Amino acid sequence: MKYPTFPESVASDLIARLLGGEQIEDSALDGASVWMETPSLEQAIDIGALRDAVSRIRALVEAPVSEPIWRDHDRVEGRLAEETMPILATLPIEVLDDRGFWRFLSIAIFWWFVAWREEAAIVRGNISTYTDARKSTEQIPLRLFLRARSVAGGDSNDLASVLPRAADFWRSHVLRTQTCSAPSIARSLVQMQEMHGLSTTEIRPLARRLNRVWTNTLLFLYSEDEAAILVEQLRVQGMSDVSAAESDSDE
Amino acid sequence: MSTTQRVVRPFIGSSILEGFVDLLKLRVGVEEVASGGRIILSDADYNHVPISVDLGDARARVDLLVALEEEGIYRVEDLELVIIASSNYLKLLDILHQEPLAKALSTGGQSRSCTDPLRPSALQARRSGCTISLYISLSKEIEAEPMKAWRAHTWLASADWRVSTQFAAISFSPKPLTEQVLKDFRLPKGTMRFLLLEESPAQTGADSSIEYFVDEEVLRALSTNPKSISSIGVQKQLFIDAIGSIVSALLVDDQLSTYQWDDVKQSLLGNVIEAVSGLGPATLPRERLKRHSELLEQLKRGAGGPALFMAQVEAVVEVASATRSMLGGDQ
Repeated sequence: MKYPTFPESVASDLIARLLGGEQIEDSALDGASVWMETPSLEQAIDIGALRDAVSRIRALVEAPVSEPIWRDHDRVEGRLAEETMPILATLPIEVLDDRGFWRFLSIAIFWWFVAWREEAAIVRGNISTYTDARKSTEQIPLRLFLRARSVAGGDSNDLASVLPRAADFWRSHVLRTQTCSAPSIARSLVQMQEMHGLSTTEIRPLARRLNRVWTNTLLFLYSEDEAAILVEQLRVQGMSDVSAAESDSDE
Repeated sequence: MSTTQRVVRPFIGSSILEGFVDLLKLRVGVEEVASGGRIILSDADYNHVPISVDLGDARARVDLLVALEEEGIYRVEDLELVIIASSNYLKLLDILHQEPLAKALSTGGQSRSCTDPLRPSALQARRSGCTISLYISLSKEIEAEPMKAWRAHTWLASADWRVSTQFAAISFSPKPLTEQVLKDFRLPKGTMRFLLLEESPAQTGADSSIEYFVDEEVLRALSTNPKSISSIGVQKQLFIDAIGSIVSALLVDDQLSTYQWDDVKQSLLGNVIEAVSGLGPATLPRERLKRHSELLEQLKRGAGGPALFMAQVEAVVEVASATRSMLGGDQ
C-alpha cells in the first residue's frame, strides 16, 4: 500500500503559496504528494478521518460562543492531539518514521491549525520549524502525536488537554525529555500539575530533580503507583528548594 | 562558562558489573558488535536480521555471580537484567527483557533475542536507527546505606549498541528528484542526483535530516528490486556520491583546520567518518577514537587527503566488487 509524502522542496513551495493567501484544494494538495510504497502498510491511511478531526476542532474554535478551553491555544493543541493520535497510532512505524509523511500531514491536513497555533512564527518567517519534521518535538502533527501518546494508556483519556496554558510544561518537561518515553511518569506529572497547578518557578526545581533521577534510574519501568509516589516526593522536595531560595533572597 | 557542579552518580557502583558489561557483545546476524559500538545495515537487513545480546558463556556468567558475592556491595538477589530498544526521533522505547540477574546468569541461556518473537518498534524505524541498551539495575527499593544506590531500578552498569542503516547513519534517505526539484534548484534536465546541504557538515547536527534527491525512475527501479546485482551496485554508488558531495561542502568550511574529533563527533561529518571508518563493530572504543581522528586529519590534508578519504569510502562500500558483478565478473 502507498502513503503520501512531501519532499522538502514541494513543502516549501506549498507553504509559500499558502502564506501568500492562496486557497489550495485538498485534491491539489493530495496531487502534489509523492506516494511511497511499503508492504508494511496493509490498509489505506484514513486521510478523511484526520481531516474530519481537524475540521471538528476548527469549528469549535471558531464558534461565536465557546467554552474557555477553545480559547486556550495549548489546550486546543492537546484536544486535537487526542483526536488524531489514535488514527495515526495504527500506522506502521516505517510510515511514522518518514519525515516526508509528517510534512504532508502538516500542510495537507493540519495547515489551519499550524497557521493558527504558530501565527507568531509566521510573522517571524520561521514556520519551517513547525512543518519540516527535522525536529520531532517541534513539528506540529508529530509533536501532537508524541504528546497524546506519552500519556496514553491510563485511566484518563484527556490528560493531553487537561492543563490550562501548558505549552511550556509539555515542551520543557515532557516532549524534550526522556519522560516522553515513560507513560507512567508522564501521566503522574500531568496529574500532579492538574492537582497543584505549579507556577513555572515552582515546577523547575521538581523538573531538575526528576532529570537527576532519570540519570541514574530506569524510570520507564515504574508502575503507576511508583511513578505517582516519586513525582509527589519530588514535588515536596522541589517546593522546599523554592522556599530555601526565597529565604536566601530575603536575607 | 558555567560553574555549576553536580554529582551525577552519587553512589558507588560495582566494578565487577561494569567489567562484565564492557565485554558483552551484540550479535547481529553473523556479526559481533562490541559494547559501545555501532553497526550499519542495509535497509533489508535492518528490518529482518536477527539480533541478540550475548551474555557470555556459562563459566563467565557463574564466575560473575561468585565475584559479585565476593565484592559484597550489592546482593545478586536485589539485581535484575533489563534490555531495551529505543529510537529517539519517534521517542520509541520497547522493554525487551526484564528478569532477575541470578536467573539470567545461571539458567537463562547465553543469549537474549531482541527480535524474536516480535521485532520491536525501534527496530522498524530504519530511517532513524535504534539503540539497544542493557542495564543491570536494582529490582526493588533496598535499605538506604551511605554511598549505596537504594532506589528501585537504579542502574549500576550499562552497555549500549547503535544499529542503523547506511543512509540513516549519515542522516538522509533518497527522495525522488521530480520536475519540481529540477525547477526549484535550477538543475539541468538529466540530473540524476542532487544533495542539498545548507551548511558545513561539521556544523550540521547528527540528527538533522538532509535532502538527497535521486531521479524518480531510478529510485522506483531500485525499490522494485532492491536486492538485484545492479540495484546493489547503484545503491553503493549513490552512497559514495553523497559522501563526495558532503566532503566537497566540508572543504569550503574555513574552520576545517581547527576541528578535532570531539568537535565534530555529534555532527553529520562525525556520522560520515564513523560510517566509513571501516572498523569492525567489535572494535574497542579506544581504537575507534584513534581511527576517527586519523580520518578527520586526512580530510584536512591538502589536495590528496580528501581523495584518499574517498578511496576509503569506496573500499568500505566494496563498490569495486559490486561493479565487477554488474559487469558480469565475480559470478
